[in-house]
Amino acid sequence: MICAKLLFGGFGRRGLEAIVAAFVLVLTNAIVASGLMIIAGSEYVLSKAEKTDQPDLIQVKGRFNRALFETPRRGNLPPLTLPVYEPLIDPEKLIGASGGAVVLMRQSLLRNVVSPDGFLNTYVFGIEPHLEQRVSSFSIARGRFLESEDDGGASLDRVSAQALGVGLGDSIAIRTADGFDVLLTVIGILDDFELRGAPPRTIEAPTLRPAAGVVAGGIFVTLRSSRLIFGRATLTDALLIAPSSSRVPAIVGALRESFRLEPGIFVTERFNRFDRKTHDFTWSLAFFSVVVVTAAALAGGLVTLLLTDVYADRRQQHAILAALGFSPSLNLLILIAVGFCVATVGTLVGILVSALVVPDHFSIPSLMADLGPVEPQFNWIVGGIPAILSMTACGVGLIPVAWRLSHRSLAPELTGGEP
Amino acid sequence: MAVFGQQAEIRQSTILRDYEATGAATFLVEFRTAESEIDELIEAVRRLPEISAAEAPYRSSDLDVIAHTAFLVFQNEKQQEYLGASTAVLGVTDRFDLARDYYETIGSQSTSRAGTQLGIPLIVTDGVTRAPSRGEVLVPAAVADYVGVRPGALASIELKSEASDGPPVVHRYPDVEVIGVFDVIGPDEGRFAPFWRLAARGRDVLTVRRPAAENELRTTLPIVLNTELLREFLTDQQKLRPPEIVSGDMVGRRQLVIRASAIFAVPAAEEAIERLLKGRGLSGNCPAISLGSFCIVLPERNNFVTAQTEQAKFSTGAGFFTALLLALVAIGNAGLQLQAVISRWREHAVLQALGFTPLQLLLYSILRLCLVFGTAIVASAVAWTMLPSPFNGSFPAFATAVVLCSATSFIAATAALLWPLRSRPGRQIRELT
Repeated sequence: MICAKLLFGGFGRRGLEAIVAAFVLVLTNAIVASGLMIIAGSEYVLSKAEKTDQPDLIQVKGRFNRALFETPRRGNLPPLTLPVYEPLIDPEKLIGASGGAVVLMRQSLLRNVVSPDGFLNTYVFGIEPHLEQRVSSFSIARGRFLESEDDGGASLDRVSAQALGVGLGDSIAIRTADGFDVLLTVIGILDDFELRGAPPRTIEAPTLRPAAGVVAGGIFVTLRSSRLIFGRATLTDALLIAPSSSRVPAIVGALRESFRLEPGIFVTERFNRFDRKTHDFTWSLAFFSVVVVTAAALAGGLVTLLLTDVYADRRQQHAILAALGFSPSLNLLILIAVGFCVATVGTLVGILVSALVVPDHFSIPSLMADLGPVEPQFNWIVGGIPAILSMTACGVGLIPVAWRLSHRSLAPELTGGEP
Repeated sequence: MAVFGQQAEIRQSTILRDYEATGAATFLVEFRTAESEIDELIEAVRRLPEISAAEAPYRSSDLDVIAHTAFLVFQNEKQQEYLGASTAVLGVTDRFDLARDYYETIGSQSTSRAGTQLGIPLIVTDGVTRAPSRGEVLVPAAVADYVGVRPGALASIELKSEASDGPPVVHRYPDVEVIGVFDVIGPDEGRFAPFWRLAARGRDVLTVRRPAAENELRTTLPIVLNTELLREFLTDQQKLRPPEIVSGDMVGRRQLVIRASAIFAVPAAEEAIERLLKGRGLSGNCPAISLGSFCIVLPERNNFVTAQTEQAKFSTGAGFFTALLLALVAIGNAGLQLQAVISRWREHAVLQALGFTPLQLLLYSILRLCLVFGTAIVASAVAWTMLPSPFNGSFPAFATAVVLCSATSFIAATAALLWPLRSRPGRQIRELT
């Protein structure tokens, strides 16, 4: 009881001011949280579009290898392993120009086996499995997907497996550059896969989607295995994941500068296209965000002003408590507790009110991208910013009192003189 | 508030301007008329005051023409090897805006229902951003990357007409210079039919396509050529047709791309076009199938109606956030007024004890409040005039902000003023001691 009295007693009419401050805090938090919920919903919509379009991806590839069209369709020729793109990309140079982007290196090859009664082409992709799964999707039917250590292993799609007549645990022979066959063990069979930046399909080969214009079938091996098969370290193609979409133009510029003497290397990005599509949406979102930040700053200032007044009015109580032996820090702790209570109530009730009053759907212009209506969302930022705002307002309001408690004598408060 | 209002207005006009730049002020006229009359018709359309531009491009879908663009990738004394791509073709003049004037029909090709007209922006990413002259071509980036060429490369372009009412007509245009590479934003952005061609001593020996490539020949991905080249090709095609299937005037272009002077002027421009076309003896009929008919069509999605809808979305959003700001101003002012009331508690009690009525005190407080508001308004007006031009908007915007803020603040502050006047002066003084 005494604790409660120490904390909340002695306010007088200022107690009402404290209640008003809490009320103001509730409403401002409700307003700020409503705005933040709409902004969070908008950002979610934008991030969904980003996931689909992946504007942070940059593709680097060599010139298409015309030999893939020349591959004989009948005859009695030995097996060949050809690069899909000319292997012009020096991995060291690529990493050097990547500007902090994650580099997914690839060797895209074609395994071509011609026999007297037919031929069989299969695409072979040398990938870095753990990185590749960040941009491409693989659905496993049997076994497991490739891992970085699976140098003798291979995962392939079900159509290619059927065409090659292999199952889980069987071996596939692939002719290396020096004429020997490398045996790879099938460790996984894929039901489906979506390879980001797959090469164009130009030749008869097993495919999961016959109508697709890009390769949709093949064998996946580790990059180390493909280098062994191909006999060289240079890459045919690569994907770079930029740390953020906005850094794409700079990275593309660096890559073009780095490979300016290699006319056969092409760098393509999707950021500019994505930016054009979502330009109106991002601009409107930025504008509304500025308004919410301004509102938050304004609200914080007002609450700070009110609370400073509330704290200041307890001068006499502090003097009495100090005379009874309370240290300045203990006195301050009492005020901190009051501020904390006001901030907590203001935050919780404010967020609750915002959840009740915020509109179900909010529209932001998005003509080119057609992003649809925004559904306000609650996340840790929506909860955190009003909490930080409330705590900051209460904390900043305490500064003048804290300074007085620690630097000035409280005796005049008891005698009725000027402090 | 005035700055916010001004920025919201700027933003709204920027949205419309951006949409105009992407083609929202454009509408289409599908028509069937003799090729010889089209150029005169375009000139007449351009003379209309509501129109800022009008074009009638040559499109593959109208002409049943496919372009096979090949690039030499290897040669020795005996043979030449080419890599290439089969795509659509677009014939344009220098007035054609690549980024906003290319529209293709997607969906229904039936005679009873018009398909959807979708805008396909061609954004030049490398080389020059202009319509090609004769002997020049712009190619899609997907094709350029695939073959491995950049602006400056020489292409061999083969136009092949596959009109159903006559034998195929093929013309080859060698040494056409690539002056630019563009990105295509549309459903077929990477859809082309690649091929490899082998020639021996200058004669084609073999052309290899990937399996099932026939489907890909129907793509909206174009190469861009000069209109004269297509016109010449069409004339030659007409000449080569057997006399028994040449029926009167040649029909070629079937689409007018018309840009109104502003998004808001589109309905008036549509009416003007309709009057003009009817005045020239064409009849309104959708879809325009028979000779002498026309149909005014709005492009799908990016048109003046959706642009205005999107702009309205921004207004609604800005209204919502304005309401939030106003609420905040009101709450803040109520809080500050309450603070002032508490600090002047004793003064109120003494004045009441001296005989001032609560109504008089309220009136004096309101007068004081008005004085404060007046000073604040003058100060904000001075600050507003000193703001840099991008921030200080029109006077009506400032006046609106003043009225809104003052009204909400006044209501909230007056409510706070009523509190000390509800109790008797003796009780108020007792509360103080």
